[in-house]
Amino acid sequence: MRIRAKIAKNEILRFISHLDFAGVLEKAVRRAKLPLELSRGYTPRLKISYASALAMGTTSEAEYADFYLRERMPVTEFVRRLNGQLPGGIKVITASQVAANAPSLMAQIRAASYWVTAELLQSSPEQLEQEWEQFLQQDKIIITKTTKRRTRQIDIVPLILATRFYPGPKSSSWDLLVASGSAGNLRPEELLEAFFAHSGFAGKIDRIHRTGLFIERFGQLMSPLARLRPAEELGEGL
Amino acid sequence: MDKIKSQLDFILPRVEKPARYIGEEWNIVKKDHSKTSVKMVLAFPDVYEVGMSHLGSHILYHIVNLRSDALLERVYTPWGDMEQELRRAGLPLFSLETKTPLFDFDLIGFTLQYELSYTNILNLLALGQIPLRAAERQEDDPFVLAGGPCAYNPEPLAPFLDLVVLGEGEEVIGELIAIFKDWKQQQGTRHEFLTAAAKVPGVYVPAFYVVDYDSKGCIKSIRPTETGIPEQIQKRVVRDLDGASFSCQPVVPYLDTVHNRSMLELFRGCTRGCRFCQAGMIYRPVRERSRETLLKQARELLARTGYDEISLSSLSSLDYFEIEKLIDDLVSEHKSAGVRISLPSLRADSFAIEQAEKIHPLRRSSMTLAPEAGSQRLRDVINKNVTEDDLLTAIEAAVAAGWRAFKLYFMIGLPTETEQDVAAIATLAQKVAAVKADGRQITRVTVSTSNFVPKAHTPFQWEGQLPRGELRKRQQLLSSKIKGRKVEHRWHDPDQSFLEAVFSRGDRRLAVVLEKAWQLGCRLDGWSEYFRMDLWEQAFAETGCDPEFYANRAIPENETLPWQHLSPGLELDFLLTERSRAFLGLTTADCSFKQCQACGVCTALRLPLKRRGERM
Repeated sequence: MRIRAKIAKNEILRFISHLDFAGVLEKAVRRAKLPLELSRGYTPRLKISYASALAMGTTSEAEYADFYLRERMPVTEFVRRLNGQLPGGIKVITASQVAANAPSLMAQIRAASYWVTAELLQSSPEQLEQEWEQFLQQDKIIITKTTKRRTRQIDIVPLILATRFYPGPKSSSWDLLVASGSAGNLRPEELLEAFFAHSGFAGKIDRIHRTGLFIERFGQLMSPLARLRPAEELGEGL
Repeated sequence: MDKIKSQLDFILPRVEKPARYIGEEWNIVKKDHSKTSVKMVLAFPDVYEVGMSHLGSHILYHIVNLRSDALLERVYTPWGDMEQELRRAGLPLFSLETKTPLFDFDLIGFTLQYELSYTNILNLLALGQIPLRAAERQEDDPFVLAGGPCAYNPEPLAPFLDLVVLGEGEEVIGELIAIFKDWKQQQGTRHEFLTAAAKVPGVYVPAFYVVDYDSKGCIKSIRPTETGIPEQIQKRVVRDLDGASFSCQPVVPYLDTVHNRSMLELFRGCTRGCRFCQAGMIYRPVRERSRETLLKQARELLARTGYDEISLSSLSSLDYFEIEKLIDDLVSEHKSAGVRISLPSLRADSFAIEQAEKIHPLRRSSMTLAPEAGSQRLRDVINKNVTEDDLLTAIEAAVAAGWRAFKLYFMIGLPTETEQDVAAIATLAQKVAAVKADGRQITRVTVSTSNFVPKAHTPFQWEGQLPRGELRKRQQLLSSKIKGRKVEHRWHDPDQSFLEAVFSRGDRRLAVVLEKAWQLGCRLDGWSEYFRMDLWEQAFAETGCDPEFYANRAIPENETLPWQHLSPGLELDFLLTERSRAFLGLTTADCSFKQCQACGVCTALRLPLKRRGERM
């Protein structure tokens, strides 16, 4: 049985890494004595797979993980028992059974949405709005991505899927939908840094919060929990 | 408190590994300060990952927090980036549980695990806005307490500490809490509290002793300055370990720590009697837990932490009287849940390999063994009762069982060591690398050499450490003798070992050096990225102190030692006999299997003499 859970990571626990977050879930599963499958190999591990790693310092209400169970159990009981063993700041919001042969979460993720707030002191809201429009109207927005191995220049225009800007006199906010996953990935801070560089404003990002992760079906972005088959076909029958 | 919490939002994104400072771990205990009479914080003089791997801290945390009248929170040494951020923001160092500044606690406890963590103690006090010296502290300031292995010679720290606890702290801490509560009710002076505390067996108040020196700078006498204060302080131990409280719900870190697993304490003490080993001397006698207790604790530990690994954490764990049965039971009970069992270190014999084979049915990465010396002659001198045959047979068995890589620990500069002994390490390593079994070969042998550091309360406490230049020369000699692609040599920095020797045999006059070094910027000295020998040299020079007097001098047997007034229960005669037996190349048997060797501990602590497996 495969259960997909949508998990929130909030408050001070935003300062733990993705690896530590995985450790929290594994230990909680063990404490809750949930019947997870074990991987084969030298060091057997609980079979849990993740959608995408969240940057340290970012809060989220849309982390997804698939739990592979060796015994069937009601999804509500799974959620209740897991939540009973999770520290404050990490919580399963909802969960649902997915088909055992569904593609892996990580391979399916196409986009992520974020709520970002930043301080931009130098300008009036009107001027900011204008600058943001100008920034987006460019044919190309080139940023430099540095990974451990190399630096490369990429155009992020195709990676910006939708945005809404809420300029304020002191603090401004953005609602961002950007490409995420192996086919193309844009981090919200990369987008905003590019904007700061383009406009010449000195900006300071206060908070980044992930509001959603999306997979693609029939050319549409939808939630990884969107159900595509009737519940009874999965044998859920709850 | 709220100021600290709000400032953390700004500070934490700027530091490496912010999870070191957030608290909020599973099994954390947060209590209401306004409703608790005695507020304590355990300050660990090293970073979070090291401190969270210390079993003793988890035990004390559990014992104190079980009480309704006291609380114990935690703080670890901030890394350099965090120290900078705290100073920039003008924030005091705070506890992880309730983000309370250190100065708001009643008692601050340090565990002294390692001499190179001493500057961290000064740094923790300073960042916690507590006066460094005990004499400068006012009625509102916390009392500063220390314990742990280095507390058997805490003299270099004496002026900074109000109280020192010798031995195991789980009973003493309760007695001190009771005294503190009385004292607080009567609104006494600091001096009154210390006087009352000094009457508790095992408690040492450095301010109540005076040290006199002769014209050559050697200690003439150490005397109590007040009546009713003992001339010698005897350590405390828990008599019945099986009945002693043990934490089955330790705080579970988010970060990957040094020992990121649950720790099961099989027994305390080790009487193998390696003559360089302080742990083997000060933690005597051996006291074991019953197998039933251990199995119950293991079950509870795993259920309450969610760890997938359990480590058998004792000195030489395989000496446990029912080790085979214990391992079999643990494996059969927890294997299906994917739980692994681990042993921190192994003696180099076939029995060890057999046990290791049961524990690691699949993962056969690297095996660590500690022959300590390269030649049989020198192994006899240090009483490491392992022969070359034992070692090679063990390795052959391990290779047959699938191990490919070995790590061998040795010490350079042991008393009586010659160039032949050093060369013998290389020869032994080559022999190990050549072992074949069932057509399998070894792929890698790592020879890791530390430098001998004479430690207080060991038969080698009188020996001088070899000069740094000589240690370096011998390490290089060994490197030059090690041949072949399979064998690799790693060695400890002789400068760090030198400093360790200075402080392990140091006296109160080193306190000014320590303070000076800290002022010059020394901290996290155990970390090579921070260790600054040049600053230490400057600190010694500016305070007019000769470090070689402490590290390299052979101390005459009749000289008063800086730790003479602090006793782990060993008879001086035992140490002297062991010393002369060492020089004669005579080994001494382990009293937990053979006859009593009259070390004096059981008599001093009024404990019955017993062998392994015999109940108290």
